[in-house]
Amino acid sequence: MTGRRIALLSFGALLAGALGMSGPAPAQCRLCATPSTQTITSADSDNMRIEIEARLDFDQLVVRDNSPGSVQLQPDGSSTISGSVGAISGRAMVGTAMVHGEPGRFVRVDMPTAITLHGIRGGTIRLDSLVTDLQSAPRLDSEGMLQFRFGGALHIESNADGDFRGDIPITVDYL
Amino acid sequence: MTKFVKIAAVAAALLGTAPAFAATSVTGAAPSATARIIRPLTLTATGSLNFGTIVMNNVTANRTVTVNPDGSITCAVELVCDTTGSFVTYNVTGTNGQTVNIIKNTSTLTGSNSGSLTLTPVGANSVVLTNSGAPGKDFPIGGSIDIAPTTIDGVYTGTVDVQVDYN
Repeated sequence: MTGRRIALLSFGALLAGALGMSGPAPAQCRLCATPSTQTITSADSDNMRIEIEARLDFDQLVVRDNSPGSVQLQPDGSSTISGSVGAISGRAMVGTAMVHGEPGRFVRVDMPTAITLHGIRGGTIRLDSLVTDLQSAPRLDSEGMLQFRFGGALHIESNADGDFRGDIPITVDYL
Repeated sequence: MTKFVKIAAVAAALLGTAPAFAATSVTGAAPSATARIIRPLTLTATGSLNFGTIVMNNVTANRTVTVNPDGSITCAVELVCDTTGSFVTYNVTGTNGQTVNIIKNTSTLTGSNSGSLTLTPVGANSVVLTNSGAPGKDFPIGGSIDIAPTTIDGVYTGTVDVQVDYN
């Protein structure tokens, strides 16, 4: 009887411990069908980072009049202009980012679909159709790196002129 | 005994469940997107560049006469010049806050009795626009010419060549 009670208490303690676990608790799996001695750590996010190598820069745009206009800069560097935009500078550059992480890992890259650029002297203009040159299933290479470029479409309303700037947050997740 | 075994199996299943870690995610420092929107420059001029009368007094070498952007005249030796001349006032319009470069090119003045003089515009190298469109920004331009011992007397006329461009 005593032996049976001790066994039940032991299992009770184990159950309480299991139910009391909060959050991801790194531990060896001892009772799995295929026990693993590899420690699962939370260092995945510690070894992944993003470097912005170049910002998306439309450089200088000449607008002919006060009517609306737009310019689109594709990740491959090609551009199209329309409306009041008369010319785009040859120094316009697409944005470039480099992801560093675990070799071979698949990742998902998220960017907003649109942002607002604010003028130094006031006013705003819209940047949308943000797009990258990533493949459908981006993956870090054998050195744990993945470089991609991004572009977008700038929409200029009437009377907008001067220097404008905005921030594009980019988030990367392991899959 | 059977009951004991079942409880053990449930406990094992609970302990053996792999912990569900949150997907790792990093957000890099937001790259900026920038653009400079500018309006076309316009350039207009009022007034004329006038050196007045220059008397050559036994000129023995090339001598320079300058109409300064404030209209005063700098006269070299062996020449007799008027005290003041007139300068050209240019007006440039474009985008507020932008720096505009002033490109001053030489041009040729043609004499009424043949001969020619080279005119070099004189003035600031750039201006900063303080508004978009009208009223724009005014800037004065003078000029300088070299009088050589062989310069033929007469009335010399021509155009002032000044251009503007965004920096």
